Parts: sequence; C-alpha cells; structure tokens
Amino acid sequence: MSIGVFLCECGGNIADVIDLGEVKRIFESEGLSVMTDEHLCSDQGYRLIEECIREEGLDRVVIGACSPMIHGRRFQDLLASAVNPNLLQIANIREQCAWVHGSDEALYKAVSLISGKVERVNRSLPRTHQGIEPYREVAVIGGGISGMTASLSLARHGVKVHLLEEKSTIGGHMVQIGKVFSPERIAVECALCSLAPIMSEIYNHRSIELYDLSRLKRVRGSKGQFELEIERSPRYVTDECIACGRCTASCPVNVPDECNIGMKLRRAIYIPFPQAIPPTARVDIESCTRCEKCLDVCEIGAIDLNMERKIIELRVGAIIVATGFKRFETKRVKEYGHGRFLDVLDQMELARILAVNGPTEGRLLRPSDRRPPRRLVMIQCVGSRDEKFGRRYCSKICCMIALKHACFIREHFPETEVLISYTDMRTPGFFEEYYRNAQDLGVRFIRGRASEIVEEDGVLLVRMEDTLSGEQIEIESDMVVLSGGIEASEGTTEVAEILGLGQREGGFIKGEHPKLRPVETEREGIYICGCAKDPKDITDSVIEANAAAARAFEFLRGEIKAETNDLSCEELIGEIDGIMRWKRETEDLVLVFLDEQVGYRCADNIGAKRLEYPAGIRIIMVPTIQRVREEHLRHALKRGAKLVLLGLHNEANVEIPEDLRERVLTYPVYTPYFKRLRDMFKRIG
Amino acid sequence: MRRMAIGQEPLEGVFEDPRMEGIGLRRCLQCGRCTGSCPARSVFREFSPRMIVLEILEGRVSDLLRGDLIWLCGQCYTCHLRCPRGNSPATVILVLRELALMRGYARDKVRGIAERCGRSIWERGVNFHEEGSRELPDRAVADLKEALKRGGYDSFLKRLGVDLS
Amino acid sequence: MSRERYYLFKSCILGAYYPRVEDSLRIVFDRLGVRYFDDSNQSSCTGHGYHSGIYPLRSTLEVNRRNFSLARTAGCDEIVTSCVTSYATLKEMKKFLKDTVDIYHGSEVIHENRDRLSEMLKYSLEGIRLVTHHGCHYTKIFYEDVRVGGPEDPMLLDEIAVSLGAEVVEYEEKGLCCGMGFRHLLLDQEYCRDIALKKLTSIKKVEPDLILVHCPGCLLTLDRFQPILEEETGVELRIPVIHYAELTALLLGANPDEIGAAAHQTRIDRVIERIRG
Repeated sequence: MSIGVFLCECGGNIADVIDLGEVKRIFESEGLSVMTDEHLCSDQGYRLIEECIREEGLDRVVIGACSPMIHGRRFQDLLASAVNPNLLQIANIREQCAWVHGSDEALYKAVSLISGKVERVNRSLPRTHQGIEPYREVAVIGGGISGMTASLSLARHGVKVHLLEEKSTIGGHMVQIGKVFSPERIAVECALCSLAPIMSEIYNHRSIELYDLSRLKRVRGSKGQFELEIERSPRYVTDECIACGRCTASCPVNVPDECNIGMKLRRAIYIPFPQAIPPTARVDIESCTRCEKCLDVCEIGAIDLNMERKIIELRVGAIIVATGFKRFETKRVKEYGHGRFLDVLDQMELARILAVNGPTEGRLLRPSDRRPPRRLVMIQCVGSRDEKFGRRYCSKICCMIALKHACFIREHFPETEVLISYTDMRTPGFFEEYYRNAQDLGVRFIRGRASEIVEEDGVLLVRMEDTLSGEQIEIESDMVVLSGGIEASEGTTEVAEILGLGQREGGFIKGEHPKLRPVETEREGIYICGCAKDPKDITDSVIEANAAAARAFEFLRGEIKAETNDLSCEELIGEIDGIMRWKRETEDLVLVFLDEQVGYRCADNIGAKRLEYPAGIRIIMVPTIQRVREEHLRHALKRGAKLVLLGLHNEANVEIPEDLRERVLTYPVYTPYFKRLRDMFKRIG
Repeated sequence: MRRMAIGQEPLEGVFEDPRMEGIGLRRCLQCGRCTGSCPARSVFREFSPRMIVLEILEGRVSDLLRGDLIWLCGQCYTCHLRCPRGNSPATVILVLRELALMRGYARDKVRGIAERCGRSIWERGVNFHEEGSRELPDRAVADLKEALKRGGYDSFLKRLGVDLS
Repeated sequence: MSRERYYLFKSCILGAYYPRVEDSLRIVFDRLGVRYFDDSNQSSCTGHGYHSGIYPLRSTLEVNRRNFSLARTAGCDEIVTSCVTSYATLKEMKKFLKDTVDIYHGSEVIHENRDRLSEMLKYSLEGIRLVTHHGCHYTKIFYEDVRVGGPEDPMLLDEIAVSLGAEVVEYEEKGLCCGMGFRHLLLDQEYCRDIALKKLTSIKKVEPDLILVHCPGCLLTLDRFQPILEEETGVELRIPVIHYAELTALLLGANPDEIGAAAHQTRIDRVIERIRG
C-alpha cells in the first residue's frame, strides 16, 4: 500500500500560517511521498497529482487543502481514473485549521488532521463509483395493512414484490379489529369488508410472491443489491387445498384461538377466518397430536405432516419494513386487575366481542356471566404517557378507538351506559366529530386517570379523582375496558437488528429525517412504514406505505451511485486513531463529530469568518450523526479524547450510554448559527 | 380575581432541595392519579396531592407553607409509585414540611412529636422509648449528639420550641 | 451463602413496644446460620421522625452517616433491617451520601432461605389461612427493588407464608396503607382509625386466621387499633397480627413468651395454640 500526501499552499491562505515544509518532513519521515503546490485545485495541480500517482505508484491519496465541501467531489471525479474515489480523502487544513488558529497550534493540528485521513484511507477499500445495477425487485417485510398496501402499490408499478409474513395469514391486526374509524365520516366501517379484497388481490397478483410463516434471518450486501435469507416454516398443507373444511371438522384438538385472543377455541388444523390468505387450511403443529384423522378425510391429499422448514434466498434492490406493532400488555398494570377480574378487558378484546365473527357473534356480553353490561367504563392511557411502568409517548390511536367503540355501543346497545376516564382527549382534525358524536350519544367523560379497580360484591369499582370537580370517586361498573397503548412488535426489533437500523423508545425504527424523509431509514434502499415506525392509525399507515413504495420505486428506477461520503466503521476508527496519534502530552483534545449536510458546513463558516477557537477541537465529518456508534464514542475516549461532542440538528436524537454522559456531549447545530457553535468550541476546548 | 404574574411566581426554594432532583414536579399532567389513590384524601376532604402540586406550580408555595394541608399526608407514597410522570407528591410534601418549619410556620403541627421523639433520640439514641426498652450506651449517645449537631438538629428543634440543653 | 455478616439494624418501634419480635429475628437468623453483627451503638434511623417532619434532611443524613460508619467499622457491607421504614430511609440516605453499603430487609433474607427454613420447622402453618400486608415503605418508595412480585402485587410475604405451609388469601385492600401515617399516629389519630378500619374491614371479609406483616409500624397500627376500633364502631375484628420474625421463630419451636405474644393487644395466643397443636 502506497499513500501520497499532497499539500496545498492555497496561494498563502494555508502556507502563510502553517509551515508546510515541516508538515512535509514529518510525513516523509513516516515513509509517505509528500508534494506541495501553490494551487492544487488548478489544472496544473490536478495534473501534478495525477502524474505523481502514476510515477510513484500511489494507490491512496490524502490532500491537505480547503474544506472538502469546496473541491472534494471534484478531486475525486477528476482523478477517478488514477485513484479510486473512496481512496482519496481531503484533510481540511484551511477552514478548520489555518483560518482559525495561530501558527504553532495550526501546524500540530494540520498534522493530526492529515494523519487522521491517512489512517482512514489506509483502512478503506476501493468502492466502485459507477452506477450499481440493482435487482429490480423489492422485499416487503410484514403483511399487515402497511405491508399489503406497499406491496400492491409496487406490484401495480410492475415491480416484483416478495411479501414476507410471519403468521399463517396476511391481514395483520386489522382482521381482528372488526370495525374501523376514518376521519371522513362518523360511520364505522367493517374492517374485513375493506380488507378482504386487498388480501385477495395480493394473493392473485402476478407480481407478488407471498411467503407466509416466514421470517427474515440474514441480510448481506447493500443498497440495490441485498441478499436476504428467509426461513419459511411449513404450513403442512399444500396449495392444492380447497378449504373445504373437512379436516377441521375431523380434528379432535381444541386450543385457544389467537385470532379471538383466546376467547374462542379452534382446532389444530384450521383456517383462522374465512377470508384468510393463503386460503388454505394450516396445521398448528405444536398442538397437533398426529392422530392423522385429517389425512383420512382430505380427498385431495393436500395434508403433509412431514413438511419441513425451508431456507429461501432472495435478491432484492430495496426493502420495505412494515413489521407493525404489538399491544401493550395491560395485565402489567396490576392495579387495574386485567387477568384477575374476568370483566376487565382491553380494547382489542372488546373489539372481538363487538365483531360479528367474534366469540359472542357481535352481542355485547361480558365474559363472566355472558350478560350485557349495564355500565361500561373505559380507561385511557394504559401504558401510554406513563413513564413509570409503561411508555412515555402517546400511542395516538387509543382515544379514537375508545370513541369508536363508545359510539358503536351507544348506537347498537343503548341500554349500556358508557363512561370514558381520560387524561386528555386527543381527537385532532376531523376526528373531533367523533368526540361531538359521542357526547350527543350520551357517552360520559370524566377527566382523570383511574387509580385502581377493586371488586365489591360482584361490582367493579373504578377509583379515581374527577379532577374537574376535585372529588375522589368510585365508579360502579359491570365491565371495564382498558385502552392499552402500542409498542413496536417483536418482529420489528428482530428485523431492526438484522438490518442494522436504529430504534427508539418502544422499539420503533427511526426514520432518516423525521420531517423531510420520514419513510427512509439510515440505510439507503431500506424504507419504513406503518406502526413499525411510530404509533399511527390505518389511514396514516396506508399513506405512509404508499410513500415508502414510491420511494423504493424511485430508488430502483434512478441511478444508484456508490456515494463518496459512505463511511465504514473501520474507516471511522482509522480517522480517530490517526488524529489521536498526534496528541501531545499536555494537550486536551475534543473530538467533534459533525454531519456533512449541516454541522460540518456550520464549522466551515466559522473558518470563513476567521473566528478563532481552541485548536484542541478536532472535527470529523460523518454522513449523518447516527453513523457514530457507541463503539466509536468509547474508542475516542479510550484513545485519549477529553470530550466528545456530537452536533445534532433537525430533531436528530442519539442515545448516549449512561456511563458516557459526562464525557460525551451533544449540541444543536444550525447552519446560520455558526457563532454559537464557535462559542461552544471555546467553552469546551 | 387573582392576578397572575407570569415568571414571578415565588417557588420559595422548593427546587433547591436535593430531594427534588429527578422529580417530575414540573411535568405534572394534573391527571389526578395521586389524589385518586390517596388514603389521606379519603379521610380529609380538603387534602389533595394534585392540588398541592398545582399550587406550587402556580407559585402559591407560601400559602402551602403557612397552611395545614401539607400536614395531612400520611406518607404512604402511593402517589410516588403511581405518578405517570415521575413526580412524587409525597417527597414534595416532605420538602414543603421542612421549608415550613425552617420559616417558622406550623410549629404546633409537630411540637408534640419533637418533644417526645426528638428528645428521645437526643438523650437515648432511639425514637421511641418505654421503660426498660433498648437505648444506646452513654458513649454512643455522646457520639450521636455530635452527629446530630453537625446535622443542625439542636438548632432545628430550638426553632420548634424544644430546648434540648 | 457468600455473605460475610450483616449489620443488624434494629427498629425503634419494636425496641419500645415489641422487644421480643427483634429477639425472634435473632432466633431465626441463628437457626438458619445467617451471621449478623448486633451493635448496641446503632441509633434509630429516625425515619419515623423524618416522615413526620421533625427531622430535616441534613440531620437525617448525619445520623445515618454515623450508622453506616458503624457498620463499616464492624466490617459489614450489608445492612439488614427489621423495619421497612428503616429499609427505605437507609436506602434514601445511602443515595444522598453516595455510600456503597447494601440495604436489605429481614424478610428478604428469610425469603432467600425459605426452602431450608421449611425443612427445619417444628410446626407448620398447615390449615392456617392468612392474609399478608406489605409495608408501603417497602413496596412503594424503592418500587423497582421489590424482590418478589411487583409493587402493586408484592409476593414476598406470600411466598414465605406458602413455604411455611399456610394458605394465603387475597383481599381487596391489599395495597392500602395500614393507617399508621407517622405524625398521625402520634398527634391526630383520625387518619389511623379510618384507614385501619378500611383495611381491617376488607381483611375481615375473607375471615383469615391472621395477618402477616413485615413492618413494625404496620404491626403496631393493625394490632393496637383493633380494640379501639371495636369499641368505637361495635364491629368485631379480633384478627391476630403477626410479624414475620415472630411467626418463623414460633414455627422453629420458640415458645409464646420468647416471641413476646403478650405484647400484642389483639390476642394472638389462640392462633398460636392452633399452630402448636
């Protein structure tokens, strides 16, 4: 490996401050070839570098010059025939060195910055700069409303879609909900009526390959060229099945039906619900006793109890993550007694009771004695907005779910009184209509978060403060429904780990830019939508799924380039090492990580205005601040950095491990506010 | 009409107490989970942890320090356990009680206890003492007195009207 | 047992009103081979006064800085308390003093040893139905440290009771305070009477043979208020209240005098007779 260092005098902008002769001597003594020139950015400058590369047989180049924001891309492009663009790096010895420090300090800092780039290119691999030919297919992970919507949108654009679903049927939570609300009108709509045609279109669409009972196991490659390894569990029934139902009737096993949250029983060979897709029977092998009665009755021989799990390899250009949510386990809130009192339920259990295809065929009956409740109380914010035993965030959909069920009950079962205990009712936009409607229908609202539920002589007492009257009250009720919040599904965490995507509270996957690029993730070519990203309702999930599909489509149709600002973990470690190597005994160094788009430009502006700051500030440019991982923070501190500063902007959030918080600081950066950043540098330098 | 002067509500040093660190007093949602759960509230209609928090945040701390309400809490900490925002009315009330006594209010609320338990710890090293029950050896009592003095206990009790010397 | 030796932290309420309960804890620890240092110089944690308002934080810190240093001098890194207010007060002061001493509650030590304990019993609680009441200062202040179950459904005493052979019965007001109320106990007992009555009424509904407690304050309140409440309301209560240390010592063979049965104002001798056959 042969590295060349080129130093630009910048007509004196750099050379008048920094003794480049000394810099040259230092790096030559390290065994590198070093050249200086008055203006490396001129035509002669380029030719000089190019000739040098050929004559000296250099395969890596570091240029000490002005900010890479100015000529970085041009150097890489013009010299591409001589050196791979990823093996050419610019050390910013003008804006972040010569223009902001005194002569001596600037010399040491220039050496350390160049050394950082030397160590970085040392650990770089050539990256092809030509366009990548992507696999023109997309994997969608998750077959709920988001995943189905994204799949259909792509398929209609002629893109081949591989849709993965961990359960034995697609449809997601929506198949259980029964009735759904929409912002357009008050009437609640039948979820399955709107869902069944979508599910059927998915199954019949030529461009969609459906993998039921499948999970993502591994991923290799990157944007445009992902290679996925999928594990598909057997259904034990082939596609020849005609769903005649004879096998189910013959099965002697009875187990709780998860589709009805255990409120009903099902067989070991079964069809979860009539509209299930794929439309075949399936065997729950865990509860199957292998009595083989089903084999005897199946006329077409579609049952095969010896089917084995399969590993499937897929090659796709883009991935859409639509792995959805799970309900907050309301049984964890012990003081509400869900699990202890039969008539304390959560909203999904109530949804099943209200559903025509549910355990009571849509009659509002309470579980304990199968009689209609006269007084029904709903408790909001169970596990949401609760930083003690739940989650800090608002789950966003629970107010509307409660209003939907409350209205439905008052309309269809007017003999049942409904009371909602709430912390704040959140019905933004046209959802306020539901609130008004509920009030018109006689739903009672009490402001206060319920404290506990006790049972007295068969009556459930909801204890709380009515905060508007200030009274401590006990509400007599026959049935209590807890509006539990939502968290990202376990599958979301699993997929986030496999794909290397950052998560936030509740396990939700972070978007790349919360405002302007919401459906993109920190990995190019991977998109996110629905409740895997954050809590949202069906309408928002559909909108987001379409957006993710559009972005994936755009990506696969556009020119895919290996970006020059890609930065591997190894390269980043190299740059840290190179900088820290030149730390003098008495010197306090602060490593500052700034993103290319905002933070780094902001720091360059300080230089453009010639505002001095301590030379112990050493800035490393990263594509986005999320690229800096915990290991890098620890490495920087271990290598002797006194402090690490992370520049944040646009609501970017990084989680800093508890034990590092004293030495790893964050600071909000905005391009126009470079003076504030400089003040910060002065404070911590 | 009570005139509110935003930004000038006197907080009387409530937030300076080290026990307030990490307590979500300012994050209170006024959801009433504390008052709904409060046994003292079920006995005393005028007592409400939520209202005490509200009064602090509205800058009416000195009314609280002069009044009776903060002495009604039974210190069961159910509010501390159940607050969804990490507030702890029970802790805040302890801070208010100390502030009240330091300002010379509410002495009659505790003088009897101070006379009994305060003197007992000063003289015997235990809060409660009955004839023949456990007490500390003389040297340990002397040693404990030094610790109590370092903690400003003798002068605190003097404020309450209990003279230990 | 990797533990060297606990610093036994004695309770002011037990010392004054139920001195034999603390002896019971010593009996149980001795029989289990749990080593402890019994220091006559240890002062009250002043938690009762602290929660009443008569100790400023500063004084409480100094008192317990002294207690922690006594424990260190005795070579103990772990303190075991017989009282839940001591447990919480010491934990709180430890936090402010940034001390590294570990604080445990006596019932936790018994819980850890419950399997061995159950093999050593002379009597068992076979046929005894009991309810448990966990002290608020154990479950609700350092709620993340609750060993068994959670703060809203503590099971520490329940599991001890089951390992001793008892049947544990649920009741509605399991989480409710006993009614002690610190300053209320000493000055204005309206709180104590109302809350204790609510608690005891809920317990009475399930007709247990005894109430198992792990806090001296709860023992005092639930035991001593029963006769008063009976007289005032005419409701018959008479539910024996027994501290976990008394109960385990008794089952290990200690006689009623050794555990101090006579100190109870709500009689416990009949249930003791039943247990001892």
